Amino acid sequence: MGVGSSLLLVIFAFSLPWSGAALLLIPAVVIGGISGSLILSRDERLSRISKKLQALYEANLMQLEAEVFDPEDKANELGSNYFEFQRGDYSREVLSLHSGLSAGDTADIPYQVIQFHWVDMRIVTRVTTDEKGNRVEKKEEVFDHYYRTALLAEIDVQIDAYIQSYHCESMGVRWTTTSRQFNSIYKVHGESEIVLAKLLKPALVLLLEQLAAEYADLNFEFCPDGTMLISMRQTHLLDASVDIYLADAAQAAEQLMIAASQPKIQRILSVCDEVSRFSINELRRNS
Amino acid sequence: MGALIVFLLVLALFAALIFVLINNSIISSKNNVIRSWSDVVTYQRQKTKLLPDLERLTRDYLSFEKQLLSNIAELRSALTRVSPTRVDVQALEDIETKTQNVFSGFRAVVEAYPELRSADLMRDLMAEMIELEENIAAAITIFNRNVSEFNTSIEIFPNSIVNDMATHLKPYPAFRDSVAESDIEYKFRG
Repeated sequence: MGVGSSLLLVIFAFSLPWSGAALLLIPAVVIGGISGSLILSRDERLSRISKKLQALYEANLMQLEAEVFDPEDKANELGSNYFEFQRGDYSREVLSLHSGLSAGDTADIPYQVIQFHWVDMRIVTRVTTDEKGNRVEKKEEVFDHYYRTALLAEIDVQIDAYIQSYHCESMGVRWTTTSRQFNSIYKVHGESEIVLAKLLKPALVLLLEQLAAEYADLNFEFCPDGTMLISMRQTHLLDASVDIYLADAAQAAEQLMIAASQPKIQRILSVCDEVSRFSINELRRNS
Repeated sequence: MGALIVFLLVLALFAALIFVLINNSIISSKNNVIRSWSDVVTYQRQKTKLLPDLERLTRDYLSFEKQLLSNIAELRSALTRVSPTRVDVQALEDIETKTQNVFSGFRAVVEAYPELRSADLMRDLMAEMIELEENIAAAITIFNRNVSEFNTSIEIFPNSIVNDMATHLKPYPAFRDSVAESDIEYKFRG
């Protein structure tokens, strides 16, 4: 409305002599400016609230509880148990951590969704030529940022095993499966060959191969404290299929009330179910 | 003349190196087939752990189900005939057919005796059977994949020359599930 009236004033002002035009142009610009900034601020406010609602919706979906912590301390705490959080020679931090509970096929699985960020620093040498034509070498610090998503689940088996898509030394005994495809994707290490053989049943091997096609740079760490960490390149695991727009308040309210499933998280947690089903009994029977 | 001899020597060395690499890759591929076969046999033989429970259930509840007991005996005998070091797809097919006979017979008698379904032993047994069958199916998938890789490795050029000259290995037959295939209308016959 305000923008329209100011436009009309501007058009009318151009049809008048200079002194009259100046008198009309000033209020037109003022009215237009105020109206424009009001519209922009309203849109920004709506978008901000919509984003908050979206986050609230996603948290409610999984009945996730956000935890408050110091990002660096948390990374160091997790790093004492998992190699995943020991990465980053310059800095490392946990960006967010949400706790949830999933109803698995064999038992309820308490889990945490963790967003992790680490930075590696490297020195690069740049060669330039100065104004006299001399070769000048300049060392520069370059920071490489990496973002990862991890899912930490409690499983009832205490073993030390690593299934990783990158090579890492000093993790115990090396193990290869009979599947060449699996061996080309993952490197497996652990406390003993017998534990790894019992863990990596053929059905689990095929499942991990399938998951590698769905998620990038997957790693699995089994910790003797009875937890399992599944980590991957940063992925939005929460269901993003529903967008909450405050412009349609009734629809937004309805969407907030819906309990939706989380296919991505359930898919990843299926590994815990399969480990429970295929391997845990075996590992317990022979422990 | 001297340069030509050196060139020929380098060429011969290079050819020998390639020959050794191909030879080793064929042998490694063959060992992988044997290892995955041994996995299949290991999981097949785990059925023998379940058979005593299956027999006990059959005797306790279904004393007159003679056919099922006879099927179990046949399966046990077939399991002892398969070797983990010698690939014998025929023996594997025989085991799978006999397993299907036992499972289908068992399913039929469970339907005839509803009280059997609630028995704890029965539930545990069924869960273990399903778990075992899934692992056997996965192990066979991996075995078939390794057989396919091995067969390709001895048939493609120049590996075929190395195989004719040194390793003398024959292609392995892949396992085909005749029970599953019988449900498919069109069958490819290569």
